[in-house]
Amino acid sequence: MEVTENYRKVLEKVFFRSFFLQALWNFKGMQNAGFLFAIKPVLDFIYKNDEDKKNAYLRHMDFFNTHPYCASYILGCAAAAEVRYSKTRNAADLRDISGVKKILGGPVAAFGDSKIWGTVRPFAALLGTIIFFLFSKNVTFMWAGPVAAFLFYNIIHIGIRWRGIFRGFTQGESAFEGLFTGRGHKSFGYMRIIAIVLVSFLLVKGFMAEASSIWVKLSYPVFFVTLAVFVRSVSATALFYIVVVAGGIFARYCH
Amino acid sequence: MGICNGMNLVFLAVLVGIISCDTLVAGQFMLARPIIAAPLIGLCMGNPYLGFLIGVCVELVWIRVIPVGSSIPPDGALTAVIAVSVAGAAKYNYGIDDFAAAILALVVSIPFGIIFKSVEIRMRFYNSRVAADIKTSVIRGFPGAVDKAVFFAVGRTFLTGAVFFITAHLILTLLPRQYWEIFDFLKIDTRLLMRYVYILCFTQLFETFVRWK
Repeated sequence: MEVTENYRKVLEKVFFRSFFLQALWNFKGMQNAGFLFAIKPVLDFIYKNDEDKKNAYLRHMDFFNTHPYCASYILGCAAAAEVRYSKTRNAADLRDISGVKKILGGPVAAFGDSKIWGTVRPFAALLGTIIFFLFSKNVTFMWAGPVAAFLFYNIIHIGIRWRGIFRGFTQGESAFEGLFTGRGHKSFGYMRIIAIVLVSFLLVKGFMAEASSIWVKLSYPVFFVTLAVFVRSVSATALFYIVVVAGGIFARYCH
Repeated sequence: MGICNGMNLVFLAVLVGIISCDTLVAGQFMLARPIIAAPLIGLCMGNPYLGFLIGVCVELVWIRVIPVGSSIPPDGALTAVIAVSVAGAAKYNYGIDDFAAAILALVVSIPFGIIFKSVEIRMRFYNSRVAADIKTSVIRGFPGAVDKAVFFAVGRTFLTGAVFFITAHLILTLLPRQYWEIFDFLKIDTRLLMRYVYILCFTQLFETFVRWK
């Protein structure tokens, strides 16, 4: 579907409203109310009749849940499907509206959880951490860490939201092919490789840290290996308390 | 702004309210990530380094905990900001070093992050009622109900985060001096202990990128 000047303005409103997609997250409909809130400008624009508007609102109060950033693609697709239905009043187009949400919600969520929560977010944190440790003697330079993490993360985050709405609207379901394959998809793999190199650098730097005795120096890799064994089976919170107690005993008697 | 006096605490609470909104209901711009939120609170308290220390620890120790589907992880942002405010106050009052303040503050702040998780679950149950009300309002011919409900949801989250922060801060500042000086009393090298916490952070990072799929 083509984005005319009028639709561009409406889709921009959808873009800004998509930041509140999870404002009314609930256990029954999950993102249903948030989805309605985000797509509302499109519904208000295309349906002038109150009854049509009411039916359209109720359609979007059905269960919906996906990754909040990648939901923009579905918002764009659903908006295009609503526009099509408003013109044709065809039953098949009506089915497409809820169909696109039901069919794509799961795969898009899986993509977002693995790529955004599982790769981009830890990578941004790693970026901030690396800068923190590199400039650990200068608090002013340390600010580059959070700033770099914030910028890196939000360029991707806002980019996905913006592109998602317009691509979803213009290309429909085929917009997802670019999301799941292609250059964008490969870049997540590269990000992982860079992250492994950076984590290895942090580890080596950590093991080389100054120590009062050879036993203390040896304790760094021993601690790491021990924690690596238990990191999957013990919760992060429990591990933190164990490290504080065990590390405290070691720091008291072996230092 | 070295100490958390009344006005400063209110200012911090407003900031924490904004951070709470960013966690889920509005934006998700990463402002609520501990690595960003904690240094900001540290800056407001006059000790950004403490914020960096706590922010990096909370961010990395819980880096593999993600909000998939309907799961709600303990609130890392609130844990971090509570820890920074309490550590800042303890450092100011008792003159302990940054590492001791950070570790001891984290030890007592983590339970508040877990408690806030149950507050958030209650808010989400309440949202179910709000969503049902929106549906009823739409059927009755009030299409603006969803806008109003979103506005109130953001306000509710802001207030809950701010009030929870003030409550947690006031409770934790009641901890006796002996607690904050326990590392001095036990003669524990806090710099070395912090290194072990960093090793836990690196282990979690390693697990995230190398082993975790």
